[in-house]
Amino acid sequence: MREPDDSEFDALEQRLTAMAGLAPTAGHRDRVLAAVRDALADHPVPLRAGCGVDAGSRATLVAIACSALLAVIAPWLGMARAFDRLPAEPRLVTQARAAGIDLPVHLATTTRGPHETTLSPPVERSPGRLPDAWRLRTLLTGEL
Amino acid sequence: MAATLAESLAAGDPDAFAALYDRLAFRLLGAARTMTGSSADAEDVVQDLFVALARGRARLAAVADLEAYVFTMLRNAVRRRGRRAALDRRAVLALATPGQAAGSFTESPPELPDDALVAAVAALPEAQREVVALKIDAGLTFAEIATVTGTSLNTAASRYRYALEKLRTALAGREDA
Repeated sequence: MREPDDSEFDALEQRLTAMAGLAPTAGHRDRVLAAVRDALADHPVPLRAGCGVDAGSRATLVAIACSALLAVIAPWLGMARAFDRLPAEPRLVTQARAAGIDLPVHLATTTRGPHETTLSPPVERSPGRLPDAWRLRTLLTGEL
Repeated sequence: MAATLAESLAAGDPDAFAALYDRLAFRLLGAARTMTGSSADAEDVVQDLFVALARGRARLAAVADLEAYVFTMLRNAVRRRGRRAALDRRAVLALATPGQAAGSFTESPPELPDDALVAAVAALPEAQREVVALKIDAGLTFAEIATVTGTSLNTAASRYRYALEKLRTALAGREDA
């Protein structure tokens, strides 16, 4: 198949252009504009661009979205509270460890709450660990 | 100028719709006829298009290129109509006897003096026929055609070139015969 040259395409375009466009038939303009007037009357309030949702429906959608979000987040909030209730090392124990005091395991783990200022069981009842207990007491009371 | 017309259309001014019709009807009808192959269908499509514009007029205020927007709606309206017609055709053919079916839906006779060219355009694939309609009837640039058809500029230009090659081949075959 031979390659067409531009003059052939130009001639073809001229033939196409000669029959381009279409004049409306009599009455078409009136019919179209009458249909437009009907459509304008049927839709007196323009719809919001690209939305198609009125204010009431939008509020409902927002409420549904918030409910769904809560349903997803609530279990996570519950888990976070559960973590908060887990036994935590008291600040005093942390301070003692930082000071190089080797606390007995039962003393470091039986105390609840990170901000408690007392240790349980009392330091004095820690059998066999008097040097550590003494150093801890010194740390807590500031006595040398 | 175009922005003012778009704003008037968005405001629901009937005179603005009349002005739009006067400005684009000749090109819209020509493009619709090339796409559908029928002047009667073209008039129906253009009427449906104006009704759709009136109903969704709020969107027009944000339209940057009004002509490209209108021709995009025209293309979509023609495609919807084509799908509906295909469904109707299948439904009727399913009910018709073989003899009736053979006589149904014959091509409407060409309505223009250049019958061979009209027939050749009608035989083009849909995508190429669209580009010819938008280039020749609507007078759009390839950049605008790319916007209307949702393709790249190169694709629009290639489709046009392929369409011309097919038309040339088809016409050469007819005129040689």
